Amino acid sequence: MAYVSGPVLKNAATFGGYHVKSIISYIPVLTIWGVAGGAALATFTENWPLFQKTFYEKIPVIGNHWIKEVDPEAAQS
Amino acid sequence: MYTQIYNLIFKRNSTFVATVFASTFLFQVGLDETVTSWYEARNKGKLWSDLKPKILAGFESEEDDE
Amino acid sequence: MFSQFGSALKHGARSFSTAAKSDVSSNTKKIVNAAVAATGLTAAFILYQDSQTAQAMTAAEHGLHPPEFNWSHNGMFDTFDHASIRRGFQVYREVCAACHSLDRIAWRNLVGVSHTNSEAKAMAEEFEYDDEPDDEGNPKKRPGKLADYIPGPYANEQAARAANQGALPPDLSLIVKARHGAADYIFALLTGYPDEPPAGVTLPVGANYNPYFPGGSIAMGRVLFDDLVEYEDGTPATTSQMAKDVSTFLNWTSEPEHDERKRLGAKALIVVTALYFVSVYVKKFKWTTIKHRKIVYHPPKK
Repeated sequence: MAYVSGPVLKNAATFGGYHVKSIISYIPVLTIWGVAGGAALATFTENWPLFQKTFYEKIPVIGNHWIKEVDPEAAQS
Repeated sequence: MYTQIYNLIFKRNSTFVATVFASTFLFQVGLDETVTSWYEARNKGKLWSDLKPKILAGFESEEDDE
Repeated sequence: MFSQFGSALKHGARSFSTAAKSDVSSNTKKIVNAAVAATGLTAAFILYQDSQTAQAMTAAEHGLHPPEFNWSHNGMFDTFDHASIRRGFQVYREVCAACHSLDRIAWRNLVGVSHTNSEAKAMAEEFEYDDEPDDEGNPKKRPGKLADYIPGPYANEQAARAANQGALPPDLSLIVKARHGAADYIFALLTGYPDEPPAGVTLPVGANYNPYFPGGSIAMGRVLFDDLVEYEDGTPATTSQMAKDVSTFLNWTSEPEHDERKRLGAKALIVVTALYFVSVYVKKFKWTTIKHRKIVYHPPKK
């Protein structure tokens, strides 16, 4: 009868102190949280001209909402 | 139907929060567009957008002296 | 007769005090009586003195209250009439600007409200503004830009007073907010000059009578007369038309945020109303078990 003196311990692969397997298992939910964070950022920067010009004006269908022309004549004179 | 919605949105906190913020963003735009179009329809004829074409046309082909 | 009441009171006081503790000393009583008498006499004296002079705040001293006019921007969700603002600016420029400044309005404020960009630029360039000095430190002038503020007719307050017999024409930027009756007052004042002051009214030299002006004696004379200006859009320039337009314009200078404010107000009302109904629902939801419980009492059987 083979006698085993004790359990053979093996360290699981880690990345930055976290087990790789658990990191992988967290990826889907973290992605969704990222989307949520992005949406929150968009909500609170909706009225910020820098964000309006850089991002929101380029959204299809609703992009026109952020394009404001006070007096288009400005370009001529 | 309810199960689908539950599984898609309410089951995970992350999807729930994402839905909340995404719909808020769209709601802001929708409300603003709706109210603005109503407001401008209500005040039609008094707005700058109604005045400007008249100015550019020089008020019935008369010379704009300003 | 009154002494009866007095003695009755005394008896009452005595019986009360004997029931409690020792008698109140006669000295304390005297001091209290003297204090009461002094207070009463002083009050009577002050009242008498006050009755010797009468101060009546008459309607004339107050200024006549202006009637409420049916402004096209009166309603909760009504914007200014921008064509009227444009005509009003023309009236300001051709009439009011001879004496009144408009310090808080820049040329750029007119863009997209009553004038196009190039019109506002052209008007700004008609005026000279101080530029930075040249290399030798000599002052320089430059034509106006959109960012410049509309220049006033006088260099400073002293110049304004000197030109107007000591009276200072007020700055009109915020005049609608600064007067009771707001735009109604401006309109009533501009159109309210009678041909002659009423009988019995004596005015200082150079003053004019206007019933809407507190005190009735105003340094400004009637300035608006029919066909004083020529509107470019063909509107007949009657006195009341010009007064209406310039009041609308001055209302805009006081409240340039007006149109946007009312638009946001509409949005806020919608959102807040919705939130109110949500809160009603949540309250009902949370209380439902308490409100709908049934308490049953079974009396003990004999």
